[in-house]
Amino acid sequence: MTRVFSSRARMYTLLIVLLLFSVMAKAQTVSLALQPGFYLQAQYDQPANNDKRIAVLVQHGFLTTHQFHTIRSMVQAINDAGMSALSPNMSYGISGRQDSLKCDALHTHTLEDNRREIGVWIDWLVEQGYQHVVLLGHSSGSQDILFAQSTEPHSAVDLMILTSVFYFNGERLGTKSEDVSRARHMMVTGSPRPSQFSFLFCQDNYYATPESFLSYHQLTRQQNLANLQFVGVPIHAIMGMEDEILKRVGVSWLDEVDQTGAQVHRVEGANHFFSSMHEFDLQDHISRILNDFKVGVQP
Amino acid sequence: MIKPFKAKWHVLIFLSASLGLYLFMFWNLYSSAQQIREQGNLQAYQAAQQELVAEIQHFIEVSQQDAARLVAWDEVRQQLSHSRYYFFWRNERVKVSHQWRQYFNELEIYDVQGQQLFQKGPGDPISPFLPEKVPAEKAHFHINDAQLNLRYFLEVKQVQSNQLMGYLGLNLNLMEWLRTQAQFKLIERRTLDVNSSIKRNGLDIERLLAEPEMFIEFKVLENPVDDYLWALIQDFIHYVLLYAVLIAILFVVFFRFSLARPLISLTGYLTELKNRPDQVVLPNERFLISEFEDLQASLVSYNQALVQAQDKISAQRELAYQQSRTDSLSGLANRRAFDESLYRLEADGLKQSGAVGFILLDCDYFKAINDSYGHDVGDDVIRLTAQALLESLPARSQTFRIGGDEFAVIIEKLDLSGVREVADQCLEHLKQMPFSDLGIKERVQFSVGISFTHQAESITKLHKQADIALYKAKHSLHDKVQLYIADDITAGKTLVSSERVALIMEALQTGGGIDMHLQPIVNSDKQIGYYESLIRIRSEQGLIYPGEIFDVVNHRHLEVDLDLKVIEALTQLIAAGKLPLDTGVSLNLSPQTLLQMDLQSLLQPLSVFTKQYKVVVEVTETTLITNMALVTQKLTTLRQLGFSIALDDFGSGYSSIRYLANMPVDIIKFDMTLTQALELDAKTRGIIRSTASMIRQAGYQLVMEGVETQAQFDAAKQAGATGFQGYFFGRPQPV
Repeated sequence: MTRVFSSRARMYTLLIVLLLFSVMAKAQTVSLALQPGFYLQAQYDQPANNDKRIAVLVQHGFLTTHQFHTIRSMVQAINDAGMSALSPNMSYGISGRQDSLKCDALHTHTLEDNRREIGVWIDWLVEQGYQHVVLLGHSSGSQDILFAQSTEPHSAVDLMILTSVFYFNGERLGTKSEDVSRARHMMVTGSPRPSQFSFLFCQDNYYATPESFLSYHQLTRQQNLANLQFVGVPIHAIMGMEDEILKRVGVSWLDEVDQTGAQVHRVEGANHFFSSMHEFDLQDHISRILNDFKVGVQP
Repeated sequence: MIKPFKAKWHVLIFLSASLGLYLFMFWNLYSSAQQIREQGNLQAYQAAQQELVAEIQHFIEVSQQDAARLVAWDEVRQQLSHSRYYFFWRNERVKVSHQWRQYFNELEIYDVQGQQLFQKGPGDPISPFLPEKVPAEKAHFHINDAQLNLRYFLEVKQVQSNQLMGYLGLNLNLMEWLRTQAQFKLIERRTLDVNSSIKRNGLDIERLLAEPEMFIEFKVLENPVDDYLWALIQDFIHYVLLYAVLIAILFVVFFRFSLARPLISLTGYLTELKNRPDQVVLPNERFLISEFEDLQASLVSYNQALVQAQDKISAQRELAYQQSRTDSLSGLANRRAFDESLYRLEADGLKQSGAVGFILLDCDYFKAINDSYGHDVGDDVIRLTAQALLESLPARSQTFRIGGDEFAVIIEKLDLSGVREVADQCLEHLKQMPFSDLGIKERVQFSVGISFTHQAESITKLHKQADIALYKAKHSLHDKVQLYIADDITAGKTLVSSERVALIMEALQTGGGIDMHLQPIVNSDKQIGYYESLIRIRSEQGLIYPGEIFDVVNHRHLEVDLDLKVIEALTQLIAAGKLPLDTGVSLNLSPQTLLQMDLQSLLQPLSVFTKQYKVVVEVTETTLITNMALVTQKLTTLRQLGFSIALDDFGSGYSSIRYLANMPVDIIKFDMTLTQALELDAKTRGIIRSTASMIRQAGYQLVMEGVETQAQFDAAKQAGATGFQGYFFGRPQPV
């Protein structure tokens, strides 16, 4: 079943919702026309008994989709907690993107584009009647929702859960200072043609416009800590203690996050993706956080 | 008839036919194998065509899948949404993306209007693969620069609204795909190429699938098994050909050394045998085949046996030749050798000798010796005579025994006086021979006749001439060596011309020309008792006398014919009354006539006159002794018919007194030599008279011939003769 929605911000936006019903939970693919001919797409998972009080927007990691196993695990936990989950695919400039984006694909998307899409989806949730929106991100998705909420806070957002959260711009995270310099030079000289950069795990094969590249690299360690500190909603950070990135950036990062006011949940033995049995640890933490949040939210 | 030809040609024809048949068989096999191979190749080619079609179809399917995958690719939609960086995406991103395939030539994205997202400027190169606008034909092949490419243009739609976003243009290199992606089992991948002769651009998919070989060149993958089999077949055929040639060579070598060479050798050997039939020819060849060895050994054996047989035959022939030309009694050459020698002399024409002397010698009264002392003594006389001749004659002379006691000597390169001297020496030596040792009490005497000539054409006359001379010598008491003289009076009776021979022969056949002369035989009172008839033959040159007639008659054995004509003539004479009454007539009969079986009928015409006339049949003593018993019987018969029998020329030959007692004769006629001997010494006269007396006492009438004078008549009368004949009483006269 397809339904078309209209946005308050974009009067010309058409919304087409495809609803696929299941016995225990309702899983829907939601497409949202960001602009004529350009669609955003998300999966909308509702619990069997949806009271529409709390919805969780689950944002995937860098260049992946909502089908990523960590995302699906978290959605399962949200539904199990009796809450709806909306897991959009960040478009990265691709209408109705369904697949993971390759490092060597042409990257023109920016943090601002991501923030815009997150805002559109929060609006959509609000339109669906949800009063409380929880933003849940994994890895880069955590930075996306942190950047969005810290720079353009949405009033419907009451809670943020960040998993495996770090920062984009950092040598220990794969950033090469010369790439940043080159991108800045390209921008200054007015030749913003796509080029190969190193970005996170896309070492030397991240094909992106300098604008896109620099957009993400505004999030330094300090910037993210600052964003954490200035976000006006409670933040929980669930971190795997065997996360390789954590090992590169240092465990002190947890302390630094903790010092921003965010509540850090350390999951011993878990890696960056909470793989294997640590998915349950992740789910437990999320369920506990959401249940605690649910308790605090009056119907 | 087919002309036979040599064995090598047989073998050559056999080899050619066999080899030709052999080659034809393998050519046929080879052709069949080639046909099978070509058929297999054709089937393989057709299968390869089908495989190519299948792979092209597969390519089209894969291309469709690839195109569909690209249409569904997020980044295509990304470019349709944000085409700002399309140029970079198409040039730098697409070809390194996981979506790109090796066989893609180019990918292009078109907007909803079908225009390329990247608008080319006037100086920008035009892509050979994809146009600037989406064409009406959305899927077709395109031939360009020896490439066969598939162009696909697919719509790109919104997943959510199915709204057309634009088009994806994809150019796929079929040949690259076939070379790198297709799984060929029958086509050799590297041979795949676009038919360079095809100049067209657009090509329908259906057309390509229908006739792929028109646009794509390829070679069928060689089947290693087929190739191996074919190589095996070719090797087999090559080896078979090689073996055939080797076998042919071996056969030729075998034939040459085992068959041809022996055959040629044996043929040559036989030719050698043919060329040298009288020699033992030993071959110097050895053969590999034992049969040829045996054959050659047999030929050698036959050759040796033949030569031995020839030697034996030659020896026997030589012996026979010698025997046939040798007188067994005397050891001298015989009559045949004599004739041959004369013939050789005539044929030679006296070129070597220039002259030839001929000596004819015989023993006087040899018959009497034989009769008196026996044949053994006679034979010894012959042997001693031959010995004397051999001892006295020069080495270059040839000596023959040509008759009973007749010897001939041919002497070349000697003049007449030399021949005469040889004859004298010979006669002198004969006188020295010990004939008395043989028990012969009388002196053995020889007569010699000599003839001589410088002319080859006269050689045939030498014998006759010597015979004449011999005759002369025989009738001489003292001059026992006589030389033939050409103008001798006796020449007339020896040299008989062919014209006269013709007359004689005609007379013997027809009786014409025969003229009977009668010579009277008188008694002591000179009264004619009867006449002896003597034959003459008339000719234009005068009468032909008995000597000449008898030469022809004896030579041609016409004695019986002559006697018959004489009987006929006498019968006519008597019948005609020309014979005086109270007389008679005698006729001479040859031994041949006397021994005729029908003697009675032959004499029948005359026998009718025996009552009116005295008809006397005269025979010689030679006739009597030839066949005593038969002659006695014949003569007795004649006497019974009324004929009287006279023994003529008694005393001229070998008359033996022993015969007188039993001879069935009535009259004994003394030869004229005895008659004339009455005038010799008393002793001789006494013997003759005694002989005459004995004859008379035996009851025979006695006629003496050759009475030419009164004295001889008187002496004859005194000797007791009852009849007398001779010129004194009358010459033979025609009737």
